[in-house]
Parts: sequence; structure tokens; C-alpha cells
Amino acid sequence: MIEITNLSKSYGSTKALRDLNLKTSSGKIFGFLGHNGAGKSTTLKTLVSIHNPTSGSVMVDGMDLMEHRLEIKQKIAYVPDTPDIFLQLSAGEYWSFLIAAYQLDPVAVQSRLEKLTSLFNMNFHIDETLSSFSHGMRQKAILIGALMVDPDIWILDEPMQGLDPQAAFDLKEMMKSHAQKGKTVIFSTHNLDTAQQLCDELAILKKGQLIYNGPVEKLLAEHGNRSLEEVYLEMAGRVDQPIMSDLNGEHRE
Amino acid sequence: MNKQQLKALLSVNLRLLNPQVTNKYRSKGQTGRGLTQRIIFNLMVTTFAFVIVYGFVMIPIVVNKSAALFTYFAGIYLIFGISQSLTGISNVFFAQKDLQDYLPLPISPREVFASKIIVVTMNILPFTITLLLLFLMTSWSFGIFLPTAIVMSLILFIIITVIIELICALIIFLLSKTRFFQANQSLIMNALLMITIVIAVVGILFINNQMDGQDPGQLNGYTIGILLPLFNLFKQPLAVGSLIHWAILIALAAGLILLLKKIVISQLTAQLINISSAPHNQRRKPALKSKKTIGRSLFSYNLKLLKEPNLLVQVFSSSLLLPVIFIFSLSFTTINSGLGIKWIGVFFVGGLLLSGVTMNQTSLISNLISLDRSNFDFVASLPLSLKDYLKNKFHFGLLAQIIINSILIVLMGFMYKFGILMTFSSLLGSVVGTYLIGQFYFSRDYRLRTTNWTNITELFNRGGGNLAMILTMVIVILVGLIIIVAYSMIISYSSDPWVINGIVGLILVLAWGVVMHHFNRGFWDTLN
Ligand SMILES: Nc1ncnc2c1ncn2[C@@H]1O[C@H](COP(=O)(O)OP(=O)(O)OP(=O)(O)O)[C@@H](O)[C@H]1O
Ligand SMILES: [Mg+2]
Repeated sequence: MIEITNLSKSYGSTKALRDLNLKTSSGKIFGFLGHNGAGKSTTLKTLVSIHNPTSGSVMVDGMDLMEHRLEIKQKIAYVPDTPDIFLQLSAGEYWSFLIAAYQLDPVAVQSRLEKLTSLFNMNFHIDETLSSFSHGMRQKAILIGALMVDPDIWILDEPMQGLDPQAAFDLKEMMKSHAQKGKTVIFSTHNLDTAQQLCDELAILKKGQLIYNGPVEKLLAEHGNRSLEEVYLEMAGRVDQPIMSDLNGEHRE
Repeated sequence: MNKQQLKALLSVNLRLLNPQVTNKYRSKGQTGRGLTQRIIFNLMVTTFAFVIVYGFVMIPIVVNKSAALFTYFAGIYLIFGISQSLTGISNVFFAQKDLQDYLPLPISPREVFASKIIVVTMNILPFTITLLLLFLMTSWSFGIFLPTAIVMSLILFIIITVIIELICALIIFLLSKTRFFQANQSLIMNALLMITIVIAVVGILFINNQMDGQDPGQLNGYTIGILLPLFNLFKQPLAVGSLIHWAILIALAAGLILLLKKIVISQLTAQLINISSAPHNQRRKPALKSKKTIGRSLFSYNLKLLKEPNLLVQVFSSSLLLPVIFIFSLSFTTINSGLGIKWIGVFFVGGLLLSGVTMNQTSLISNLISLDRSNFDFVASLPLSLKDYLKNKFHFGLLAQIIINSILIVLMGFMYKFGILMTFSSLLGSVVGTYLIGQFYFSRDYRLRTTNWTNITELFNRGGGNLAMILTMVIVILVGLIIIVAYSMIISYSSDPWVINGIVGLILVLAWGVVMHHFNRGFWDTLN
């Protein structure tokens, strides 16, 4: 269980998160929605110790993140928003590195790794470097790493981005089954259909503030059962509305 | 210390160290453990090459048992070791930008730090191994029982390496704790490196100056007092003084290790997190406004490229530090002031050759195109003449290089009292040299351009890599010395020096024509 209390984060003068309060429970898929720059990645990065919060606290399974980083990291697998890490390593070397980092037994993980590589069609790219991969292939390589390690909590920042439809489908199935096993999946997305399909619970961020937290059904019910797109745009949408037709007329001679 | 993690971290960091070398072995089908071993082997070969080269240089020590010579070399190698450690640490810890990739993983900062410092040590081993060699040869010259000599030298070498590296690490990490550092990381690293370079140059000049008029091979030449105890460790290994110095060195190393454990490692995580959340550099895009100001906006764009973190550190340390140390440590002599005007040609050629020594594949002008990264491809897609764009870039690089070389020459002119006329002649020579040699390195950058690099050292290692660079430098220096010495001899013994100067001038004009023709045909004209 993850409990976020009064979490704020500033980058210099930019306030990326303001007083965030959230609770996730095991066995659930937890989804973050929000416009670009709303603070989704900042929240996830704080959970995985990439950022220090400016103020507030994060508790994971009753442990304070600031005091028990290593134990908590051991429980988490993270997929970053841009798959531009460890580019100099081959896919196989990257996975071996993760095995060592999480101190797993290579023999024990082997069959799981093999299944994942063939599921994501990556068996023929094991010895190629991540830098030579297409965006989607990098995403797959990093996803395979996280899924192979398979700790209690998955934290995935826009994991479907760049994946082909088959891989995206498989990933969603795996997220569901992970939650069904009583574990936790936390992810962010811009795809409202995905959010609607997967999320047991939703958090919508706007300019660093939480504007909704709860099940999707409850949100829709509160808004007269319109589509999630309509409801989301109404809640998270722009403050001042330039008219689309104005924009289309611009810069014409 | 977790061995499994440490080993994994080491193999990752070895790959990051020299991406170009890594890729070379990859293209030959190496991966996994085999690749790691290949990289280590490569490092060992480089180290061995240095051992051979410096082994010869230090033979006089064995013959002379000279304290002066010992402290002279030890002084230079220590300065070398410190500057290399500073760059090594900044390079391996900061330039590779991989520190934050470990943050989400359950690896403690201790392992990360240990793996990095081990890689730094391996990386600078070719430069520090000279110290070990010096110790070995000295102990051997005093007839210490060989196995004892090896063990003694090795222990002393390890202690001194530990002291150098930990002091450098402490400096960098204490600095990196400050908010100012986090905001101006590359600036501070540059400043730090400049300071080391200045210390190196001043140190070497000072040493040379002290030895002025003395034959360094002499038994009783000038010794650097502070380094004399090191010499005595070998001369009188069992004397009380030597034992006390051993104790001091060991205590110093142990103290530093403790300090590091207390200060750096315990706070490393927090520090890394802070660095990773410091505001990022702005993304670069050329500001192409209108035709009129395009030259100016390209100039300021090129100037912005220099803000690439660690670029200047690297440029100064690899392209300038080595030649500067070579030049200053090789020149034992001073020049008679008041040379006649007939020497003007010698100084011109000297300036020209100097630019050949100070420019190499790690110079600014040799990397300017690749610094564009994907902007270069973007520019190529713009309705803008590529030739003009590159010409502009070339002139920018040229200017930078000329400024650097001029500062060097003015410094040298001042130190060795060239006199105004000769200094001016050298300056002119170096401008001409920079222009011609710049063409080579600039077109080389175009030929080998990489726009998707992640670490600046990738660019520097294009082509032959570090070893080839140093070999080229040694060869250029040797050939240059031969030319200068020959030219000087002819001038001083010739009855009609102006005929000689005329011939040399003619050769230079011809060479200019050939080089210009070559690069116009082979490079500039192919651009459109
Ligand atoms: N490293 C950084 N330095 C400075 N500001 C940052 C940094 N990272 C994020 N920000 C700022 O913090 C705010 C939140 O960014 P964040 O990346 O969390 O948004 P997001 O919701 O993930 O957006 P997206 O949908 O585009 O991924 C933005 O205003 C952004 O400009
Ligand atoms: Mg994001």
C-alpha cells in the first residue's frame, strides 16, 4: 500500500505538485490522467526515488520512503516516460544488469525472461544495443526488464506509448493479472479508453493539483454518465479557450 | 558491499567509459562477459604502451640514482595524475549522465560510488602507471631485492593513487553539494580544470626554472623538497625517517577513506537526487531569423553549443593539457634574447608547428559539426546552403582555436623572452597553421560525424581513439623538433640566411596552395 501525504514538488520556481494526498491499495490498478505538464511523471518519479519531494511524505507498506529507500526500491519496478536509459547496453546485457541489481537468481528468472522476449517478439534482438532500437523496441526492452523482475509494485509511466497494438494488448493483460494476484499497478496514460478499461481507481491531475480521485464509474455517474472524454476534457480542459477556427486561419497569406 | 551488484555495475560502467571502443567490439560480435573482458584487455594494452614509452624516458634515473631527477619526474607525474583524476571523475561521474538511471533501482550509493571510482582508476591507469614505474625503477636502481621492490612500489603506488583520487573526489563532491554547483555544474568543472592546468603549467615552469642552468641528470641538481621523502623511502628504506613517512602516508590514505565514507557515501543518494532534479539545460535549436542576421545568429548558436556540459573540460584536458605538458616539460632551455631578424622564419615555422601539436581530434574545431547533434540533420533539411552553414561554423571554430593558440604563444613568448617581433612571427605562423590544420580536422569531423551521441567522449574517440591521438602527438612533436632544430642550424651557420628563409617561404606558399586546393576540391566543393 502506498500513502502519499501533502506531497509538493518544485523545480526552481515551477510548482509541479501541490499538496497531493493519495492512497493506493494492493490488488488494484491505479491510473493517472492529466494534461502535458500536469505532474504525472513528477509524482511517479518521486515514488521511485528519482526526485526528492520538496515537502510531504510517502509511505510504502508502512515504511517511510525517505528512511527505507533500498527496501522500498526492492519492491518496485519502474518504466520511465522516455525509454532513453542504458542505451549503450545490449538488451540482454540490460536484463542481466537488472537481475544483478535486484539480486535475483539468473537461473530462476530465465524461463520468465524467455517467455517475455518471445511474447514481445524481441528474441532476435537480444544482442543489439538499446541505442540501435526503434522507440517502440526500446520501450519493449525496458518493459521486459520490469516485468521480468516482477516485484509487488509496478510503476509505469505511459507504458503503452510506442507499442504496437499486439504488445499494448499483451501488456494490458499482464497488468490485469498482476493486480489480480493481489499486487499493485500504478501507471499514467493519455489514452482515455485504456484508462477506462484498466483502472480500478483514477487520479486526475491539473497543474499539479489533484482534481479527482476515485473509481471511473463513480466519476461518470457524477457527471450524468457522459463519455469519459467529455467529462475529462470538461474537468482538465483549458482555462481560456482560443477558438480552433482562429488557429486554422493564422499565418495564411 | 554487494558483489553481484558491484560486478554488474562495473560491466555497465566499462561500456559507458568509451562507447566508441565498446561499439567497435560489438560490431565484431562481442557481447556480454566476452565484451567486458575485451574492454579490460584494451585498457591493459594502452597501459602497457605507456609503460614502454615512459620506461625509456626514465632510464637516466636508474643510471644516475638522482634525487633531482626523481623528484622532477614524480612532481610532473603527480600533477598529471591529479589533473587526470579530476577529468576522470567528472567524466565518469557526471558526463555519462547515468547516475540518475540507477536511482529507481535497489542499489545502494556505496556500490555505485565504488564501481565508478574503480572505473576512474582503470581509466587513468595509463597516466598514473608512470608513478609506479618510477618507484619500481628507483627501487631497482638502489638494488633492493626485486620481490621486495615490487611489493614496496606497488603499495606506495596504491597509497598515493588512493590519496590523489580521494582528494579529487572529495573536492568534487563537496562542491556538488552546493546549490551553486548544481546550477552551474559545467562552469565549475571547467573552472576547476583550468585551475589544474594553470597549476600544472606553473608547476612545470617553476620546476624547469629551478633547474635552470643545471643538468637535470646531475646527482646534486635541484630537488623538490616535498617529494624528497618519497625518494628516501627507496634510498634508505629502513631509516626512521622513512618509516615515519610511511606511517604518515598510510594515515593520510586511511583518514581520507574514513572521511569519504562519512561524508560522501552516506549523502550520495540525496545528492544524486538533488542533481537529477536541478533544472535541466534548455534544448537547443538554431535561431534562424532572417537572411541579414543569419551570420550573427549562427555565431551565437555556435557559442551556445559550447555550453554542453563537460565539453570544455574535455577539450582543455585532452586537447590542451597533454600538449602543454609535453611542450613545457620538454623545453629545458631558454632562448637567447635579442635574436636577429633572420630568425623570423624559424619562429614562424615554430608557431605553425605548435598549432599542429595543440590541435587534435579532441579540439573544438574537430567536433563542432557533431556538437550540433540532430540539429545538423535539421539544418540540412532547411532551405539554406549547407556550404555557407559549415563555412560559418568553420570560421567560428577557427577563431576559437586561434584565440587558444595565441594565448599559448604569448605565454611562451613571455616565459622564454622571445621578444615582440619573434612572438608576432610565431603568432602569424600559428594562425596559418591553425587555418590549414583546421581544414583537416573540420572535414574529418564532417566525414566521421555522429549526431546521436550521448556522451561527449564518444566524439573524441572517433577514429583511432586515445592511443592513436597520443602517438600522433608524439610523432608531430618529434618531427617538429627535428624540423626546428635543422632549420635553426642552417640559419645560424648559413652565410646567407635570407636565401634559406626565402626557400622556406616558397615551400610554405606551395604547401598552402596544395592544402587549400585539396580541401576545396575534396571537401568544400562537394557540399552543394
Ligand atoms: N527536470 C525538470 N526541470 C524543471 N522542470 C521540470 C522538470 N521536470 C518536470 N518539470 C516541470 O514540472 C511540471 C510537471 O511535469 P511532469 O513531467 O510531471 O508532467 P506530466 O504530467 O508527466 O506531463 P506529460 O504528459 O507531458 O508527460 C511541468 O511544468 C514541467 O515543466
Ligand atoms: Mg510525463
